[in-house]
Amino acid sequence: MKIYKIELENYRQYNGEHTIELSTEDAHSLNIILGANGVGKTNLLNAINWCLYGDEPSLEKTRLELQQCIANEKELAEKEQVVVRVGISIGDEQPEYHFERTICMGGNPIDFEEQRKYWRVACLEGRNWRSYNGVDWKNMTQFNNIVSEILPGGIRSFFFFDGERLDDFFRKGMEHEVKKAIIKVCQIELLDRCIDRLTIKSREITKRFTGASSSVADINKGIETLIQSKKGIEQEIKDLDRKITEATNNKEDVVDKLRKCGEYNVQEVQMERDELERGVKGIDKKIEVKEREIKRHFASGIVFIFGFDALEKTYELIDQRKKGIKQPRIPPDIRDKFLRDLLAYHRCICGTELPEGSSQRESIEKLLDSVKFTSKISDDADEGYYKIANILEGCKKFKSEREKLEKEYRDMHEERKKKDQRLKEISEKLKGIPADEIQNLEILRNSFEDEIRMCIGERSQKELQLQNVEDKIKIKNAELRKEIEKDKTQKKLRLKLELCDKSIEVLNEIKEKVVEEVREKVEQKTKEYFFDLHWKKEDFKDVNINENYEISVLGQLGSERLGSLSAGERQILALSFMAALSTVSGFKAPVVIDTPLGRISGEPKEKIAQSLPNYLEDSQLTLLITDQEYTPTVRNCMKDRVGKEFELQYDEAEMNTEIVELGGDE
Amino acid sequence: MAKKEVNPLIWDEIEKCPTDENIKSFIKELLLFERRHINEKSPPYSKEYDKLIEKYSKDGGGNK
Repeated sequence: MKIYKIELENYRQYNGEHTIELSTEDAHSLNIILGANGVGKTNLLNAINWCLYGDEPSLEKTRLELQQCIANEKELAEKEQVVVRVGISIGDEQPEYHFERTICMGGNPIDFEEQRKYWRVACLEGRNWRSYNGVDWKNMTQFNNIVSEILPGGIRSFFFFDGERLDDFFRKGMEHEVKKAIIKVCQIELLDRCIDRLTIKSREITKRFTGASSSVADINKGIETLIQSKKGIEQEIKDLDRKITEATNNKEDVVDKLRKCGEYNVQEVQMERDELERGVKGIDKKIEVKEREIKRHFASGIVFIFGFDALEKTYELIDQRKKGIKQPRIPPDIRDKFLRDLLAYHRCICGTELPEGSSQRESIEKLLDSVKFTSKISDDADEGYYKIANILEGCKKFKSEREKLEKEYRDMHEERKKKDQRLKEISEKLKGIPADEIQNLEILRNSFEDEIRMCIGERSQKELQLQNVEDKIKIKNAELRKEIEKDKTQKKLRLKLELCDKSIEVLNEIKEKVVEEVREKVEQKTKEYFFDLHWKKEDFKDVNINENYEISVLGQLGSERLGSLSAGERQILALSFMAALSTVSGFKAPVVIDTPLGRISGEPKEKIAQSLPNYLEDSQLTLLITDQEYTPTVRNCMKDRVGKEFELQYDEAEMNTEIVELGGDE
Repeated sequence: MAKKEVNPLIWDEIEKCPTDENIKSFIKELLLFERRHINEKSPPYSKEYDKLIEKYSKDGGGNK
């Protein structure tokens, strides 16, 4: 996907009409838009966001506030009514979509609802453009759907990249959005849709078996009740998720305000809290892993735990008898095997004959009777003695390993307790600051945190309930399948049911594999690019992305470093992630980066200038860049990929920025 | 609709899947239908699914 053209009309400092036609050639898909600070580079990025998504993420304004400030000031001062318009043409091989957003400013105020009629999207269908004008919600939904398919809003900050908003990357709550967007760009939702619909169809088919026997009808009725109950629980979980997201965002907003608070060392305290919270999160994960390890270890040694005392006692008894401390001694003084041999050979070792019926033979037979039992025990005890010795050795190892695991587990809890204590102290400290605003923010933050905790607890309970209902449905379904199998009259329905069931099974398997494959590849590529771009790679050990798309960067000693990355390093991480996503998903968004090298100095700047276009070689890349960033060396590094260069020139008297295309060698 | 319009990762996974060809073809057709209607919140799927289930269950469904 490439941006072919951007049209601006009276948008902020772009007075009148302006058009930028970007280079879309595969070999030269790098566009440079050069401009000093304040001439409109960031506003070009804002214009793209406003046109496609109706907001400007770099400004914390409501849509209504935004509308009031995006018109060109000079135009607004001179005319009664000003039309503000941004149009963007996007496509793969040619412009396939043209998005346009317009509002009228000045004159009679137009309310927000009324603005819908100015939203327009045109799609190339065959050779004709089909236009959807924003006259009703249906068409607006069409606009949003098309945007969300080709450039999903959830991950736009990874392709419309604002250098000044780097701290938003990888912040709490973002990972959920990232996961959702990845599922969308990788089309995993297609699999979900098929599974959901086949499940409905499968239910419809089973219901048609109702007439076959009364038990089928009863089971079907039971399943239906369970499905209703499942739906109810799922809805409750969704509501809780929404509450958790809202409370998390609210808490994050409050924390942001605390972070920005310049008085009473609040910033420092908040930074310490951020670090502690990250630490707590890390310890919680470790505790979870350790708990699993302890459970596994426990299960593997259950015989040691319950049998240890008995085995030890047995060993002690045998040992005492072997050593003659206790009687009868084992082995006995005369072994039964020797006596049996004498009887078999009819001769004693002293040479005395032992014929049948002789008194000597009878004496030996009596002796054999008295020792044969103890001899047998002795043989068994002998064998058991060494076996028990080995088991007891294993027991000791198991015990020491268990003690070690339990100690590690206790230490982790101790560490967590200390961090919790410090977090409480921080909260008390903030509440004690003699400034109402800070106290209120802290109280607010704690109330959001309590809400999150409560919702998470409730959610876990609901998940258990859901699992329980799902298990019951499975059992009922198995019963139903058995009953249906008995009914040989409805072969066709059975075949349909088999097809649906088998396909659902296969689709679930495919989904699981694709989701994991995408995550693994994104992780691997992010790591590869991060280490390639970083100037001090020896400081880092690993970059991990877990199943929830939470990113962690590990230092050489294994500690979490994400929170302490510099702005430049975060920029590199974000670039690496975006490039990885682009490579793995096959999703080729046009990448626009504002001040791409602003936070990176010296040599690394050249390295990035050289490498970045290579990582994104299949993506169109547009850089909004200052003179300080676009040094001769950087320019030289990029020259082979550059398709077009533009310069933004601001005319103060006219309050207008002109977009001038530069010649190749200028 | 061309195959390339469904993410190749999904397509490859279907190909690799050790199940019978009948199921694979059925799933592919379902995916292509969903791909065509990806922008619609509630596409008219019922008839299309019924048609495909009818078509693929004729010769033994999943047991072919």
